[in-house]
Amino acid sequence: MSLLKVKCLTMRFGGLSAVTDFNLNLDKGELVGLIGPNGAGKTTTFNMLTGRLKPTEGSMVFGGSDIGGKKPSQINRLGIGRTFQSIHLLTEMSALENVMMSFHGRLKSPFWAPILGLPGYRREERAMLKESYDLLERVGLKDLTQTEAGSLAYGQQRRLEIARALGTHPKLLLLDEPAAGMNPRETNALMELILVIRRDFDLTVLLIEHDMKFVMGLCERLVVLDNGATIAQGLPAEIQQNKKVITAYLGERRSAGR
Amino acid sequence: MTFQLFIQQLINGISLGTLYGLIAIGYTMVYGILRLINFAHADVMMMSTYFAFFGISMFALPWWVAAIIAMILTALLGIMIDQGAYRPLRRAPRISALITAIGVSFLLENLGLVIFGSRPKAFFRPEIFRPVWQFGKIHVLSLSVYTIFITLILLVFVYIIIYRARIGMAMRAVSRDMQTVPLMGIDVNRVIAFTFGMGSALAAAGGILWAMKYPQIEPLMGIFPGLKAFVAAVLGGIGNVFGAVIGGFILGITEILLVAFFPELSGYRDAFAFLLLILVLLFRPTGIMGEELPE
Amino acid sequence: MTPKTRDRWLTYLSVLALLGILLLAQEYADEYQVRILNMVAIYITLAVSYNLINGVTGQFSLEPNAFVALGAYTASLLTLTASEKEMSFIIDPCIWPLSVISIPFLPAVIIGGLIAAFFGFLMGFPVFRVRGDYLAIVTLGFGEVIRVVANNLQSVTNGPLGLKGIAPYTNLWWSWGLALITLFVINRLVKSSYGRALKAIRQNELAAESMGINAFRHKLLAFTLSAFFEGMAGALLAHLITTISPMLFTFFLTFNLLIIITIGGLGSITGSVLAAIAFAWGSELLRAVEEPMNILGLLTIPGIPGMRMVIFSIILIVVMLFARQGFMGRREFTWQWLFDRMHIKESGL
Repeated sequence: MSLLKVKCLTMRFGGLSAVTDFNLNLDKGELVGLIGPNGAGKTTTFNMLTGRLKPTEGSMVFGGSDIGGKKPSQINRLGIGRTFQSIHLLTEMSALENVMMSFHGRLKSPFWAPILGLPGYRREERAMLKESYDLLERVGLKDLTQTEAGSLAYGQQRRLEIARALGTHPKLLLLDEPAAGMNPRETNALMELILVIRRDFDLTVLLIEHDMKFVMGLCERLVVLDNGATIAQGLPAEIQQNKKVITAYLGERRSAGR
Repeated sequence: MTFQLFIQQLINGISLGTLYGLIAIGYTMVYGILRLINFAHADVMMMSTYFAFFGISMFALPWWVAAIIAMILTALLGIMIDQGAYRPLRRAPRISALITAIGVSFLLENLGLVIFGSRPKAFFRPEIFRPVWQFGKIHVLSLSVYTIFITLILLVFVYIIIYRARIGMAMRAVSRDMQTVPLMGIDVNRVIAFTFGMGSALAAAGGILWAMKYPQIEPLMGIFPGLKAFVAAVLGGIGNVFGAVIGGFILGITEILLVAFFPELSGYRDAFAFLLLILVLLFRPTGIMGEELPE
Repeated sequence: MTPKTRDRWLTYLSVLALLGILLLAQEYADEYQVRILNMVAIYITLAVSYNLINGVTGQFSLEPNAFVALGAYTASLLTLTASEKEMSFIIDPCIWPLSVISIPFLPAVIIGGLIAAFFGFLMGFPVFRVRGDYLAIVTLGFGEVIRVVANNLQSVTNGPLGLKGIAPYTNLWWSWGLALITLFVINRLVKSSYGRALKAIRQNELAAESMGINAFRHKLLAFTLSAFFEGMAGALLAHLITTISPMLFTFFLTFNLLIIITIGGLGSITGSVLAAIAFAWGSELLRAVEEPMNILGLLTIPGIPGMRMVIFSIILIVVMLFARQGFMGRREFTWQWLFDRMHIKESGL
């Protein structure tokens, strides 16, 4: 069943084309990787999908509704969650508060409810707390809930990002370089985590990564971008042999694989 | 509203506009480089009038000597403020610098009140600026016309400095990219200090001309002209020196004409500048000569 | 008992102690001291509300003087009787129906707050389209516009002459009552999910947005709520000093509040309270610097009017240069902290 239909998505900044004619069909439950050399337009595509950038051309239909031109908070509420390449955590808040923050968008109680101490709000707050602890446990941060997010190790921060994104109850999860800066052990744990959360939370996952072992080992399907254009789509094994892909990577003196 | 009256007020407006422009240049240059609204700029202008005042009254200097010395002293004051209060906060969050600027502004105003007293002092208007010229039915204070010319001369200097001198090139470079400039051997702090000095000197010129025109000075005199000059800077496109001048003209002319056409609204003339500011920020925040909006 | 219950009881007890002190003050303190106590309470209300938008939500704005003015004028115009208005409005008569309305204090205060909140709400739409320094300037602009309008609308505000003879309804119970209510409401809000959202907006607006938080709505909420309490504080202020004019509500007032919340620590409710007390008190103490000082009846040092503000400006600059997070930073007082300092363990209670 199709969850995301992207057609002819294009992003132009003045004379520069960051993304040209991007097409993608995501079925529910798929785990797809978006790869390509640096500057290929992958994060820009994410930004368009989440509403941070308005596409110059093209359409995006998510779960039946057109999300083109919608604001990030709206798109988030429709069910697209995302992590960022650079850390977008609230560094002064604790890990727990960060995750609890992700529930705020769906809070039903109005602002006077906590002021008056209404039981409806208290129930919601308790539920948020419980679910936040649960999510933190799942990503392996159970003992670090009270730690300030800024003091966490890089790998832990990335996992917190994922917990935070999960808190928004997404149907589609966009992961922007989730394994960046991780050692092989952490990378393997992350691969497992992604598979587990996909299963437990009924997610569809689209991720950007440079770590080839990660990508090849995890993704069911790959889309390759180079200079804004889609140069290949298909199974990992096919992509590995694809001449255009190899040139795109090697042509920049980068080896495919780490 | 006769034609003659219109011309008369137009000249007044242009004259006022040049004064706003002179003060606005200081705001726009500092904002262009530091992204800081130098709240103290207007009060520095106030200090310049007192420098000139004491030069004339206490030291019996000829007015133009007092004016030049006042400009130099004001430039030094501006540099001192930057080095003392703003420079330590270069890496701090911008809000800190803004709050400090507000603090410095208040400090100058209240020091002025304490030292000079709140009673306005009469400022000297040189002989050459006193006559009122008559062209048919149009009466114009010679000072108003001289102001326009003096400002134009100063602007020529500004142009030469910014576009022809090396320091000007450095200033433009720093306002584009403060991080990489030091790598090219430019001492950023020197450039910033120079910017403050130059902006303050121009504000001093504007202040002294202002004091000659509305011949009273008091410690809080800088507040409204300063805010309006800032509006002019935003109107013209913050960060752009000639935008500041154009913004000044527009503001000066519209303010005078507004009061001329609707004298019953004269009490609101100060609010008008703010309304203009709010409209500009809402609909064309980059201003007339707009560069990209920071942040 | 659990720490939470213990904390709650301690808070109740402190409030009772405060009320006891007020009772004593009401009975035994002289007029001057009562006046200071009232001002302290009003400053606390103002500081804590201003801090909500500037400190907690991180939207640096410069307009509280406008909201205070709105509340003050609204409430005064509502409580003054028709004949009192006739006496004040000598240039232009007061417009109808304000000229005939005269209502009791409590509704007047609340309406004063609501009017301020209403303007705050309207202002929020244009104002929050900009950020950072521009937000500061735009709010400053609005504040000035409102003051200039007050100075010119002769038939509504009596222009520069202002309003005289306002009934001195404000007493310790009103002022501290409002202060406590403000503290209660804002504290509850800040500790809730909404408070966290506001703090998130301050730290990283983009990240907050991508978590599904509508930044604009939350900023508007903080702004309107601030305006509401600032307006009510203004109403109380008017009925304390009994004479108001546009000169009272200039940027100087905003600056004073700015000093308070900055020195207390932007974002800390406790900080604002402590700094407000220190400021109101210090202001009075420093008044001595402005009056001539008589030493042993032999020497008179002339007073230097305006030195107070010079000193405050210097303090602000020094704080910004050396301790810009203020006294409390972003921390709050908790009973737990007190016990930790006194080395009392929970089991001992």
